[in-house]
Amino acid sequence: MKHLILILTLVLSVPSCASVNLKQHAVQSAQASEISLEAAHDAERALFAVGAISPERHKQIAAVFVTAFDLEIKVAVGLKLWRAGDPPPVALADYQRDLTEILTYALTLSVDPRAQTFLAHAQRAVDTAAAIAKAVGVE
Amino acid sequence: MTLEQVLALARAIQILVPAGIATTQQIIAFVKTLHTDLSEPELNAILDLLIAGAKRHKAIAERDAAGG
Repeated sequence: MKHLILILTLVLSVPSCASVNLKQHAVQSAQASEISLEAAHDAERALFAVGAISPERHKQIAAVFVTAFDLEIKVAVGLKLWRAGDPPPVALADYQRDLTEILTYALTLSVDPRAQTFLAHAQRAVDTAAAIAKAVGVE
Repeated sequence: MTLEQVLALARAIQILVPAGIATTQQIIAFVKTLHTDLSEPELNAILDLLIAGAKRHKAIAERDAAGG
């Protein structure tokens, strides 16, 4: 755990480095968001596997994850073309809204201690998506 | 690098190297990557990996959403 915190400290120090350009900030934030979203997805599936989520609720959450991954792909394609000064990728706002929906599901489940990992990854996905938005100039 | 970043790097070396998790050179190389401007092709390569990962997870989620 201590090692993870150290590595995260180093990674999170990136945005404060003035030599790194805005597009790189956006790409690295998108990468962090992808890692967190995948981890949240894995955590949700693990919760379902141990019976902490009903089959019906699992299907509902899976549908939201489908949309999130689809929007994330669109954001990544948009970032490929993005240059400093351009408007943000069009899918970014929808991506952030979808991640917030996943976070809401995670919060609903968080009364169960087993859902804390899901909640933590969902929160991190939301935070890192906000970092993408900041890098591409969303107020 | 700010003082806080230098201290974080020093602390990482202090803990990770004796534990045999990484060499000092590996840690410095990692941090240099983070603090160096990447080229457009390098950034696009990261985005391609991201897209591939998202597609894999999307396919899994689609199966789950369909009740599979």
